[in-house]
Amino acid sequence: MVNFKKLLIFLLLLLFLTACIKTKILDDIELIMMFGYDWDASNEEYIGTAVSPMYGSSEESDLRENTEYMARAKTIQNINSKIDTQTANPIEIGKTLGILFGEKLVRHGIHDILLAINEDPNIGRGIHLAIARESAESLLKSTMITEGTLPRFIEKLLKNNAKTNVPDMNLHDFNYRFLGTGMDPFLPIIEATSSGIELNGIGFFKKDKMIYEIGYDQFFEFKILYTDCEDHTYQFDWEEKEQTIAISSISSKITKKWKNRNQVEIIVKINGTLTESKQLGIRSFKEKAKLEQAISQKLKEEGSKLITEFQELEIDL
Amino acid sequence: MNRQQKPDITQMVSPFLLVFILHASQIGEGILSFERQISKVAGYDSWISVLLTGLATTIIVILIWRIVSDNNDLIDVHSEVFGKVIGKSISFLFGLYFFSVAITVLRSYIEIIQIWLFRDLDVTLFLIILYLLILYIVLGGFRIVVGFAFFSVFITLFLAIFNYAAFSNGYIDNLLPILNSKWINIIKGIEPMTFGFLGIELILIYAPFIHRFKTGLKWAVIGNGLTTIFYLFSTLAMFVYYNIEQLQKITWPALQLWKVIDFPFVERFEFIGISLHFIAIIASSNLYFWAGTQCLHRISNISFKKIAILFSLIGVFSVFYINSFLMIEKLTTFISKFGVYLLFGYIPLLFILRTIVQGGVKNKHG
Repeated sequence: MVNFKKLLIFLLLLLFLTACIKTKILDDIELIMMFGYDWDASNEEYIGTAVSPMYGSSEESDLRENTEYMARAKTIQNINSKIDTQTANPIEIGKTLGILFGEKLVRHGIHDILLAINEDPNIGRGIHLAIARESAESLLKSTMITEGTLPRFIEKLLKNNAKTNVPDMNLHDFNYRFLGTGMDPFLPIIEATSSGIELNGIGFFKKDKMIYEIGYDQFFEFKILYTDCEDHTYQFDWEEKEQTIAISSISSKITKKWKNRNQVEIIVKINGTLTESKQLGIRSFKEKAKLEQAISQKLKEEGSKLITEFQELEIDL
Repeated sequence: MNRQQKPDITQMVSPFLLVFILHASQIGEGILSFERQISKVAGYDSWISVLLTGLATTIIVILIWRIVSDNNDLIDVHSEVFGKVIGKSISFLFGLYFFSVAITVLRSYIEIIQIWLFRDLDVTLFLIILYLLILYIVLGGFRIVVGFAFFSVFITLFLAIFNYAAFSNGYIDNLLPILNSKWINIIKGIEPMTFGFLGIELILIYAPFIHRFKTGLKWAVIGNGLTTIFYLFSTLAMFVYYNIEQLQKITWPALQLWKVIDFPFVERFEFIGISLHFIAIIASSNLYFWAGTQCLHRISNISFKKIAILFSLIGVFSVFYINSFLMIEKLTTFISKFGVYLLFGYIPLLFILRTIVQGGVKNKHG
């Protein structure tokens, strides 16, 4: 009898378990996959664009379909709650894959918006950030045929390029460089072209404003100076012989040597495979040494050009 | 229920379990946020403060072994040193302190749940369930409390493994150069760090419950050493992963770190981390709650059960007073200050007083 009573109390307690919080069922929420933020200078407010996949009622429905919501407000939370007024279900931002910042916004400064994003525990720290050329809104609303949904495509694009062309930069790294002394963050720039979306630049911040950008041609120089890399490709114009050759599978390693308090020497060791060089015909050690010399000379020049540029703009990296 | 006044052998635990009891009572909510407080004082070098605190607390542990002897606890020592009335009132204060720690630890954990997991959590209902659990464990006797503590150590060790993410994504250079900050700051870092080591003072209450208490000293030192290593590892992980400026802006660095860990089946690890940490919180809160109850039970003749129920009710109702983040922060700072003075001020003082009193007694007999 006693045991029965205990069991009854136990079962009654189970009722409490569900009563503490609101339940969230996947079918009844609007999962936001990607956010884009823009700056409206005339009204001094943010324009937020949220993209969520449109799950049809049947399984055959096309998963490429997205729905976009747009709202303007002065704070991030308000944008979210304004977006709520347009959706059938409550929005949920825990699954956000990435956040895009419009070009105007990064030129205006992203300090406030970044702190607001950091405040929200629902947003992961491994998500990717990027700058959208023109505006994030138009990029997220563009209707192009991509593999998977548009947010998934952008995320894959950024993730893939973080391994090869540009240094990796997620929300945590961005915060790290943004808040730390002697460091400034940078972000990849993506652009919607007529054929698709491409990553065609890196934007550099000074404090919270983007003030400088480099194009694809300088990605390699920047990456080898910034971090160790592997599996890179470099196209080298050998002016002496009027030929262009490609070096692939490049892996590089950095060592930094402090000469004195104000001077540091960055030594980059590069290993690569020579490809597309049939006509060149490197057959002797002498020729190889000559080629190596020419490449390192060129890279040194370009690298120091990049560094002087950063020094003039007072961007810390 | 007078049986718990002085325990018999059936309620005692082996001395080696001290490792687990000590570790469980020390690791609480502090492990998630202490890096912020110590780095505010001593910068990247505050890991040295962790080591120093570990050393200082080991000395306190040894002092405690000199203060209480077999089958003796804090209440006996107090009445021996201060006389019956003053001794009992000081013990009463101790009891209240234990309860307030238990309540604060639980409440600050609920704060984390509110912020990270469930925004719309009904705190009162949740607290009622929690205190039912605590009552269940505490009323089961000291052995059940220890059993829970034993279990919780494995959970915290398991969670510590996941700090590996810091080393694979972080910047080891952060720690260099060593000794960049002043020694005085490193020593000042001991004060905020001591909060993480609080739990040692509980030995004064549960000493009679340890079988062959005298032999337990080495296990207690090992337990304290384990805590030190644990904190040191966690500190190094956070310093490698964050820079100091960033650390100051983050309330719970460990939780933020878990955010980047993702497995194919778990998108965000911190949800699992917070939930598992619950065991550690309950274990440490239990030990404090048990100690508080035992303390009040010993000085009065009210039954153990009644005191436990009364204080769990107080714990539930405390939600109406401790209702904002600022209040919790204030309470935690106050308790940690109090704990530091208790550990490094009161316990050595008690040791000295007791030595004097014992010397006097011996002289009388001689």
